Amino acid sequence: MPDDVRRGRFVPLGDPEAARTDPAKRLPFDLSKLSVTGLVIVCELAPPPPGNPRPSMSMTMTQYLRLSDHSMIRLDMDRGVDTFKFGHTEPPSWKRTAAEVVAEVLTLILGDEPDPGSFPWPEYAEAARLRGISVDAEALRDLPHMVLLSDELAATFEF
Amino acid sequence: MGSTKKLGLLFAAALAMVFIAPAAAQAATADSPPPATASDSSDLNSLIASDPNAEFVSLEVAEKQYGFDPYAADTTESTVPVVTPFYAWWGCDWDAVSDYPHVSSGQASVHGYWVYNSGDCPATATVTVNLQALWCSGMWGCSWYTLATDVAIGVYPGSGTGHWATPHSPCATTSVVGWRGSVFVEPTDFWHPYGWTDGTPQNLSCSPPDPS
Repeated sequence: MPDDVRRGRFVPLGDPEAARTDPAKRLPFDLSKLSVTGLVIVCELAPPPPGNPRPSMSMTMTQYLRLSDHSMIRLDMDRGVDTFKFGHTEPPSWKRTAAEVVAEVLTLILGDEPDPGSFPWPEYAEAARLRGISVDAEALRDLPHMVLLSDELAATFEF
Repeated sequence: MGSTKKLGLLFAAALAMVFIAPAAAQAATADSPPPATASDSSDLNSLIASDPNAEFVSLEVAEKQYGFDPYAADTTESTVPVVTPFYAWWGCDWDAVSDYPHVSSGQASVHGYWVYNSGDCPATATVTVNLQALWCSGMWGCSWYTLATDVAIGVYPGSGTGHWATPHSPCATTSVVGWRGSVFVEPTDFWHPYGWTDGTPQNLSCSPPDPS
């Protein structure tokens, strides 16, 4: 039995044959070899809009393209929404269901003219090109989308 | 016995006032326009005309170069009518909502709408939304300039087409400028003492056409 085996050694998970003595090499991040696999909208709690006397809350909606290696590229198309309470409910409650929040997020993202009700694919494609991702609007059109809500938002909406 | 009668009359009179006062307020304000904001464009046009070097600027430039706080409340917002003691009894709770200003198809825009929360509210409301850009002048300082207003009359609560008001303003250049939305909700035939609410300011790569 070789000396190193007799002494014991650190080993990788899984296939023992995967063990190697050469240091791992990180590959360069080559966007040209990656494909776009989805649209991700990340929603997070933001500081309330300043200078208003009414109870208020703010939510940011940051849009990303997910790539085939699971990395995400942020598009320069950040959105958000402010909500102000009126009436006399004390303390104010922001309670809503996750389905309601997701539906509202999509309504806002999909809401712009001249084509309300559909994602702005040409603008996504243009924003992606500015980030070095070569993709056209037609290729994006059939991609799945996902809305992620942060833990802070989940607590605020009392899911 | 006499004093009991007097007390009873006093109570009845007070009760009548409680019900009459909000009704009178409704009648007086049902057709009146929403209160003007501090950045009412009519106030600014003459100032803009008098300073050819005025410009639309980003949030950072307004702060650093002009010493203006774009996140502060409008000064006139604090002088909205005093809250009456009756508002708590109306039992209508709602949200005013505005999204962040954003650019699509070469235009800046913002959506404003209302959401029913609880209580006995009118079924519809009128939603007025201002789209404002940050304007600064070496002579006059900075102000939020209203470039577009949209009004959704008698709309049911909720977001989306047919529910929201959406003012638009074209982008003349891609220079970075500070923008915000301002929203005012009037439930139909229902008086309330609240004023405008100003949304979170955002920098957009969109400078509006010269208003002068």
